[in-house]
Amino acid sequence: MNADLKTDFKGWLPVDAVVVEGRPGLWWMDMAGVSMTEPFFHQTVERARRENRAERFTEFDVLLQLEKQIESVQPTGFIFHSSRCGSTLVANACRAVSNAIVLSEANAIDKLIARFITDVDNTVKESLYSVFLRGVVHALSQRRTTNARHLFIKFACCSFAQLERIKRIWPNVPWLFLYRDPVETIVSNINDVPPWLIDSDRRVLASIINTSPAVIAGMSLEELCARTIASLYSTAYDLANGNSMLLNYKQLSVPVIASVLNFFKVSLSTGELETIARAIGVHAKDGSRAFVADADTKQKLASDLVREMSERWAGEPYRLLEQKRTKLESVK
Amino acid sequence: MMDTETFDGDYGPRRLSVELANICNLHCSYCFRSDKNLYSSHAEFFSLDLLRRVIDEAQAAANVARINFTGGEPTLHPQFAETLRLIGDAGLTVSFVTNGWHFERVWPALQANRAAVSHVAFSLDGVTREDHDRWRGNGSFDRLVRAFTRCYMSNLPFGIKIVIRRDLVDQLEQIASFAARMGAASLHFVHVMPTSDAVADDSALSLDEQRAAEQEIAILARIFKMNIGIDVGYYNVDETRPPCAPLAGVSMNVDYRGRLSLCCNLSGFRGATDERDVVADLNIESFASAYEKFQALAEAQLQKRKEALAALTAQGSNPDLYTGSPCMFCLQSFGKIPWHRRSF
Repeated sequence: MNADLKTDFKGWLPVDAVVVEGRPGLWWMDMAGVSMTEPFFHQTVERARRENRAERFTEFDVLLQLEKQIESVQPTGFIFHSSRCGSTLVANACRAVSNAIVLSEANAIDKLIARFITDVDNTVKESLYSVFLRGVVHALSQRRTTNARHLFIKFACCSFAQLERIKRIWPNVPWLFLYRDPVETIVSNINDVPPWLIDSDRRVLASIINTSPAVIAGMSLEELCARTIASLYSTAYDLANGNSMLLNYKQLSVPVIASVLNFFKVSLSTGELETIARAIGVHAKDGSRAFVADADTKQKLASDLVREMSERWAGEPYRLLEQKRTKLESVK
Repeated sequence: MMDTETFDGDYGPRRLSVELANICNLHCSYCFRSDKNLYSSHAEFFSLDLLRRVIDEAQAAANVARINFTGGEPTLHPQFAETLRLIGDAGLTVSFVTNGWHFERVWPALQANRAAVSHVAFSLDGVTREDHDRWRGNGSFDRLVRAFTRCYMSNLPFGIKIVIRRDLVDQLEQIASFAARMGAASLHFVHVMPTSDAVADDSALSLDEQRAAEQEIAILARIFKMNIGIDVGYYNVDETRPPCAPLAGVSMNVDYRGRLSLCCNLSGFRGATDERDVVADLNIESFASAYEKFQALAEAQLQKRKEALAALTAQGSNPDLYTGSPCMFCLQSFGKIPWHRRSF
């Protein structure tokens, strides 16, 4: 550690949480001048890596130093979701806001959150990883331009299970939970299986659905997906309050997304609204394809097993969540 | 005050702890130094002439490469700057353990002799002003943080030492985070060295609690880059190698009166009835001669502990804290804790 850290790390961002030779820490990349325009943070990192940017490993200590030395943008709003339900679209819309930083499923953030689960048996308790998580967000949201004012963080879907811990770190940051009809969600995940659903470390999903990794190993993807999203629905049902917003995929539209940003206390200019309209006119995760609402297609593609698992595990939590959303909307 | 090295299998360079002063400006109730020396006796400071001679002889006779100033509070030495200069002139490096209260005053001396100072170790008692000052008096925490900042901004490596009292054992993570935030290069935990039944009962951890704390510290050491370890009192029954630098013959202590002794953690122990750990008075004896006695004592003590451990193994018993911890074993066998029921 030395006093030159600020200069040493200027423009560097923690792009992953890793373990090197048995030591947990962060993987950093020189991201000076790299704009975070891709839908996902890792896509931006991959682009930067193709430019042969410098990279390095550090232990977590450096975060605590940087937190003192570098200025960062405070979180404006958090975006959580139950997977394949339009959250990337919302994140892209946030990107249209002037002077905004959008961190979309940054590995360093979501992997640290996963440590709340995977390291639970260690005597080192949650407070330490909470400190590191705050430090990682601080480092990622460092003020790279003088105008930066807003910070939106979109978390990976599994991170929502740790909402209570996240709220303990940032109690006042408004949060959005996006979800979708369970059949449509499961179909989307089965057709294009995401990494979180086939993670070889099954402890995270086991914790989310309150079972053992061994049980997970013998589970069909349909059941695993249904039970995971059911748990996320239940978490949203339990924890949604006046500082949160529930949003169903079927509601997505430009005015609704504008209302999300208003909920995050962001006033949009006409120009920004137009940019958002353009942003959601293309497929959220692949900027080249036109975005098409695909609820009907997903329903038609659902197998009997998908329908059975959806109803058995996620049906009731979804209905309860819908009721809660309606109730909260009527209050606002 | 204690040695600034942590035993982790590497005993480090051969070194000498020198008690620069017998007095201290703070009154920490759990301190193991004789309160008579600290607060009631006349202030005594290590003589520069003796220091010069001891260092010369220690380099020649024992190949000593590093000096560590302890006390009492070493920064109270009226010729502190000269002591640093003397070490630098001898081509050695020095570290010192301090409560930080007088750091601003000695800072110019440190700057003037920067090349000779390898690092500074600060004693901490809590990660908040309230917690720390409860033990060390109002204003102590602020002075300490200022001292951290001084060191950090000047790239002078500094470490933090903290005694794991019962009231701190739940805060090991916070302590590590605090030390990292301050920019410390090391964080060394120290188990309470009990000076009475009351201190043992109120502040010291039981063996099981110690082991749990040591496990947590090991995890923290894996997570942080900052060097984290336990300096004193750790449980270690590995008989394949000496458990600490003094018993390995690598680290020696010279008390404020100029007497060579086995270990800085035994020296001037509060309530001690015996000084068998003192091997020679360097005022009247050469370091070479004293060093031979030191080596013999270290070897004999090591053997004594091996026999004690072997006896327990033969009985099928697990070593208790007062045998399993090398520090506790030495305290007991050198008559430092006569209030404790067992003796060797």
